[in-house]
Amino acid sequence: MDMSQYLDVFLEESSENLQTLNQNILELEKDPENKDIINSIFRVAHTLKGMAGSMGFTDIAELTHKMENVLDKFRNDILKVDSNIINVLFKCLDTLEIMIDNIRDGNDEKISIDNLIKELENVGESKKEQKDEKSNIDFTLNIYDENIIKQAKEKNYNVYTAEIILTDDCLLKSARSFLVYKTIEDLGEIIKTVPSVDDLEQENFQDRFYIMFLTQKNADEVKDLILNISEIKEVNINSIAESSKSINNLETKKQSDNQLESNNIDVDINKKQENTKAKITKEEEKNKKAHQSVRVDLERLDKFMNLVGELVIHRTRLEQISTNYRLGELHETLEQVGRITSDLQDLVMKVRMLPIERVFNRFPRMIRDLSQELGKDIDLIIKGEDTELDRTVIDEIGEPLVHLIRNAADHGIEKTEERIKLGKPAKGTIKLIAYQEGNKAVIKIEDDGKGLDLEKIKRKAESIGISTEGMSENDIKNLIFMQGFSTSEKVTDISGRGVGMDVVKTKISNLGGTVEVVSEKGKGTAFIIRLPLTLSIIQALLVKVSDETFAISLGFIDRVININVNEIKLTNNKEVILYRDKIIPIIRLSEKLNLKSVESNNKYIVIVKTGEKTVGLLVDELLGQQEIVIKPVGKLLQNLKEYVGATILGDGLVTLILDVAAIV
Amino acid sequence: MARVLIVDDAAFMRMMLKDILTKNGYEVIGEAPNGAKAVEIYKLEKPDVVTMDITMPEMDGIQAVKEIKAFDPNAKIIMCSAMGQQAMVMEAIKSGARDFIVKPFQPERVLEALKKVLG
Repeated sequence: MDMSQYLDVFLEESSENLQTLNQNILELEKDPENKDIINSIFRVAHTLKGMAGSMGFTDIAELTHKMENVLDKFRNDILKVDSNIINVLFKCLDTLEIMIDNIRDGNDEKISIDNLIKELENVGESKKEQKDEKSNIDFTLNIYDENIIKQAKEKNYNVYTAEIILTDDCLLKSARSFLVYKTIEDLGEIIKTVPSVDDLEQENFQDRFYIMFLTQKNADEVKDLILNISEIKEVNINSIAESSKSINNLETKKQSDNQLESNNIDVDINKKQENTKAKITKEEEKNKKAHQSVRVDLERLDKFMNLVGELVIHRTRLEQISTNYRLGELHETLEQVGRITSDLQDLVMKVRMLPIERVFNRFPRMIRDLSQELGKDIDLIIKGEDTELDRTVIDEIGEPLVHLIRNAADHGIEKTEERIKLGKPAKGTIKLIAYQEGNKAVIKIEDDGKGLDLEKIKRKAESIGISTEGMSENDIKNLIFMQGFSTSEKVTDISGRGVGMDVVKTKISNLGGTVEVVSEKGKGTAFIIRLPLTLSIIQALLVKVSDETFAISLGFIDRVININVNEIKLTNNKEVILYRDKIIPIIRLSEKLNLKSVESNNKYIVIVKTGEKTVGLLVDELLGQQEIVIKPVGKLLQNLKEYVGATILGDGLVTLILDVAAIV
Repeated sequence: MARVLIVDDAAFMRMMLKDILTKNGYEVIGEAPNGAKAVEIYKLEKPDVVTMDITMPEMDGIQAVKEIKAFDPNAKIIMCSAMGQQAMVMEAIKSGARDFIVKPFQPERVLEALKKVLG
């Protein structure tokens, strides 16, 4: 079932629900006994779970379910609300928020909820043990530590352990503990902390922690200083006895790795907790690394790109000037500038690039659902998901890919029985491959299904009035991209409404890309999409038509030939040339663009390829190849379909960039 | 009566803090919308205590703490942090901040921190 129509409502409602949850849990923290709040939280979480479940977002549903379990324990008085549980609940809310944001952004990044669920289960179960942690803490010391203590005593230092209890509603506990740590450090030397400094930093502790330290101050002085920090509920300072016997020596032997452990709890449980802790810490470290990035508004990046574009324009202007006046010295400097601007360009391009993984990620799920729906056994193989593309392309390419993959699953792959009859492996395979090729990114969608039926396409073409006579097989196959061209007799839910392929094509052309199809009957079909890596700076050929200069993106150009006008022949009332035994239709740009034609026999033909079509554009002069920056033409000229934009050349001239796909 | 300098880029926050402080007998001797201004005012006025926001334009709170501490090692600075700025708070403490309060402000917390720092 297509749930996408409900997505907006779902997103809106779940954001509201999360907001409510956040508020309610905050209230609960202040008023832990209030059953009304707990019930309200329970209700909202339940709603969220139901919605997520029906939208097929299983992770969200599972996480909220586990939250419910914990909340249920509050309701039934099995569990008491404390800051630790609240923290975990908040963490869950944060994760849920990220998940929902990801859905909103169409970002299919998977967020692991395993650790959170473990944490939730932990707070539900290990609660009891954690409660009587108090004052049974042992500082397990190694020989090295004991030596320090001995020496310190000889030098008249006091050795203390301080138990620091934070207020129940203390926020940013690790920063708070750090403040305490720093205060004590200023007074003397810290030997050990329980839990370890790392755990303190990661906030892996309840409401209290312990620090063993040396100082020349007396206990009361230290206590006062620590109490002068806010949000500290209690400080207990104990002096360490004369000999180190009070320190558990047996423990020392047990723990050769001199790791600290709050050993009142059964070792087994402890180990388990430490394990999860370690995992969480690792996860957090990973997160930290991943967060070594800055989120930047796309608009700013666009602006940045634009500015780099301006820079390129002015560089070319300067280059022109230096050539005009033969300024050698300037030229050398400009070369440097040129190199830096290219680097800048590369950089800003890279900044805007995202791995195509983001788009690909949703397909395994889709194929799974599709194969169930269609009763076909389909395997999806994804390769090159780390290929990077411009953000804009990533945003736009998803939809056409969905179409193509649906088509492959629906029309391409045969039913299992049929495949077995044909001697093919029972399981159909769809391959989704991405790679970079020059300055293009290529995405291939291959299936090993029945391939395109040439006869069917021919019949269909003729029925809508297209003559297929003289067309190559390849050309005929590419007819499927025409508007209103669906050969499927039966329109299914999945594909075959006859809107798919031409929409796919248009979308890809809009991105400056091309799509073609290669197919062999009985063997399978492959769609090959070629996309430019970047959208705003391109290599272009500058041509002159009449008095005007135009730019044509090199991406379209197959070759350029010099001809005599007399070589142009007429067939079927259309102008063509014969080039290397091929008939190529000609478009006179001067006519197409309503410019007066220049009387001369010596002209050039720019042979352009757009997808399946090859056409020659007749121009008067070639001016050369240049890197140009595409600028939108603005509202007033928006309706001119023949141009994709404009650019400013080195001499300051504004030049229109031809939209080859629209002209041919 | 202790003299306080309030540093925060949001006028709203400054207003709130100022209300809390003046109602409880503190004298707000200045307000700064960024770290640079804060350092400037500190050097002129030598307040008893500074409340310092962390993320601000021009100069952030951490840099401001460093510069104020360089000028006056005994300066008493309380950081104003939002949840999730743990790392920055630690950075500020390393640089010499004496305490921190977490937004949204609760008056009693703010007063507790001030009293203790001045204590």
